[in-house]
Formats: sequence, structure tokens, C-alpha cells
Amino acid sequence: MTTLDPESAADLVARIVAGETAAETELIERCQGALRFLTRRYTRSEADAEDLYQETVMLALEKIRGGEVREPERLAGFLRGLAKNLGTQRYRRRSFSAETSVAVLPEPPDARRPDALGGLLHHERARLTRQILAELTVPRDREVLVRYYLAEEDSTRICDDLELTPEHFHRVLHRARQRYRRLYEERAPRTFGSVPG
Amino acid sequence: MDHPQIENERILDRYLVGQLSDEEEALFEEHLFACAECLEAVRWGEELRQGLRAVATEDAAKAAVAVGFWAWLRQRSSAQWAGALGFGITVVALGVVLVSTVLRQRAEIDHLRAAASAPPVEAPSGPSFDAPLGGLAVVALGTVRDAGGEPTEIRLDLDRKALLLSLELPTSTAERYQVTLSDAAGKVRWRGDDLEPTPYDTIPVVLPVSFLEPGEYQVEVRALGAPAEEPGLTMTFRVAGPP
Ligand SMILES: [Zn+2]
Repeated sequence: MTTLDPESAADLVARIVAGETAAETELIERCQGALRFLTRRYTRSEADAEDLYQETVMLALEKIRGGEVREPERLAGFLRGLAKNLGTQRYRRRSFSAETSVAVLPEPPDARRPDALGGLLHHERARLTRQILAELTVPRDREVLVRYYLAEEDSTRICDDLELTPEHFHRVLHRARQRYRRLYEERAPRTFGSVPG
Repeated sequence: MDHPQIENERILDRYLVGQLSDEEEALFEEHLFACAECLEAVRWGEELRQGLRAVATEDAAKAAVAVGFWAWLRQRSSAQWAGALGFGITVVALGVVLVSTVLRQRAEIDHLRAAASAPPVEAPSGPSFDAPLGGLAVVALGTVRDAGGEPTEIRLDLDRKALLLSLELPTSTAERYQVTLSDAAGKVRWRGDDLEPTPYDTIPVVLPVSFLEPGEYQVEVRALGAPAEEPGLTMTFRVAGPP
């Protein structure tokens, strides 16, 4: 995956300002991974995310061409800020006014899509997760995942309750992410078609 | 933002649950443009979180099915109860962990036992999911079922750390809802704005058990965009302490 480091960012900005179209294509290639992830995070559906992504790219190119990027080496921050602002204005994500650590579980957006694929994704996702939970032979590790990722409890409290060191706590989360990825990739060709992102 | 900082300050895990300050979040997201490794890690973390949500949503839907069954059952004649009881057992066998001891349901079960003179039905006593969502208790709250009766009693005496309230809507009439949780003194303990119902006409809400000290709570569900004078749906529940 190509990325957007500060040096190439400054170079790309200069080339785009100079009117080089190939530099615009290269910019999109370099930033689309992160930008697609962020626009998905700032919105509540795949469709909104795609709209926000397109809008951000178009506006960004316009501003870069017009010489409006004052710190070219911080182009990533500029793109991120643009996406965030547009997202906040137009695609307000669920907002919570929680006084304490609470999570709400929205149905994953795909599950509401009328086509079978949406249901499959939702169900498959649940199935993979159940498999990971079942594989965690230490009940305490399962509890860590649920309390932190789902109930969004404070990590210090979880560590205190379960007498875990922060290192162990984060190792559990790390291993679960890795395992999820492996399981997902083993099944991806059959059920998903592509990896997320 | 560099990797020693990301590692030392557990930036990635905190990012996933939205616990970074605005400044930290901006810097980390900027870092994601330049770092394929961190971008991959947050993608898979987000996927896993969605997977956990998917499991919880499925389980909430099962709970709603099971509890909705009792509401349906109340409308049946006693002659039909014997057959219905068999169905009830099947629903329970789906693997729903209903740790709530709903008082009115309990009365119904007693009534059913007498009417059907069938072997007693024992409520499931522990996790029975295919692969349990450890530490999660699922409780369904219904507006119809709870109307005018005793509040649903939730006993947090099992080894559960999080409570999933599956709020049943009579029919899903709005696209978005606002949910307010107040304690007995009327103090708002939590509010969720702009919540989307599931395809099963429920709104799932997860609360850490530590958040709920024993006492009575009221949940108000309002359709977004409804006129201010229109009353919301109200559900009450009582949290009982450990025995
Ligand atoms: Zn990194």
C-alpha cells in the first residue's frame, strides 16, 4: 500500500500547483486508504462514506490547485481536516451525550440493506466473532474484549477487576485483532470477496 | 505522532473506542495517511468491534423473540397453553441468556405450569450461546409488556459485566430515536441521540453493569422529529443488587 509521507506530500502539492495531472492521480492513490477509512468512520453508512470521500477529494484538489495549502508537508492533516469538517456538516454521525462510559449498538448499516449480501455480511461477521470468542479459552480474555470493545468500559477498571497488567490487557486486544484478520482472510474469497477498507 | 508514543500511550486501542482527545485523534488520523501498519491495525480493530456488535445485535434479537413470545402467549386461551409451552421451550433452547427475572413472566410461568400440568420449565441459568459473548447479559424491555405493571426486575447476580438492553418498539415508525435513561430521582444518567432501530424493531443499548447501582430506572424512547407534545414510550426496570 502506498502512503502519503510528508516529503512526497510537499512534492505532490508543488506538482499539482504546477498543473501536473499525473500528480493528482498519484495523490489519490497515496491517500485513498486512509481517507476511505476515515470517511467511513465519520459517517453512518457506506453510501454516505463514498459521497464524503468523493466530495473531500474534489474539494481538496480544487484547494491544492488554487494554492490554498499553506503547509504542503502536512497535506495529510489538511485532507483529514477537510473530511472531518465536511463530515460534521453534512453527515452527522450518531452522537452520544453520555455522562459515563456507555456504548450503543447500532445495527451495522449493511444489515439494513434489502439485498442478501448485507445480511450475509452481518451474519458472517457475527459468526467469525463467535468463533474467535469460542477460541479464547481463558474466559477472562473474552471478558476483556466485550467490556472494552463493546461496553467501552475504562481499561484501568477492567485491569483492576481482572487483576491484569496493562501489558496483558493490550496483548489480548492485539491478538484478537490478528486472529480476526486471519479468520477473515481465510474466508474472504468464499464469503466476502474483498478485505475491508 | 510516532510509534513509541502510539505504543506507550496505547493510542490505537484508545482510538478504537473513541477515548482520544481531539488533538490526539487528529494527530493519529494524520499518522494513518503515512503508516500502512497502523492503518491496517485500526481497520481490523474496527472490524472486530463491528463483529462484536453483530453478535450482540443477533443475541438481542433472539431475546426479543423470546420475550415477545410471552406477550403473545398472554393473549392465548388456556386450552392452547399446553401446546404453546412446548414452543416456549424451543425458543429458550435457541440459546438466549435471559438473566432478567421478569416478575410478570414468572407469574405467567406459574400460571402455565398449573394450566398445562406439564413438567416445570426452568429458566436458563447460564450462558448457552453457541459461542457466548462472555460477560454480556441480555435483557429485553417492551413497552407493551411493561404497561401498567411491575417494572422488569434485573438481577445482576450472575457473572456479567455488561448489560444489553434490547428496547422493543411496538412498531418501528421512525427512522431515528432518542433514548433517555433516568434514575429514580429523575436524574438523566445517559442519553443517546439519533439512534437507529434494528430490522427487528428494537433499539439495543449496552451499559456496563458497574454503571447501574441497585434502584429503579426509567427509559424513555422518543421518535426523532415527533411533536414535542407527543409522549414518548416509557419502560421501567429495577436493578436488584446481588443476593
Ligand atoms: Zn504507525
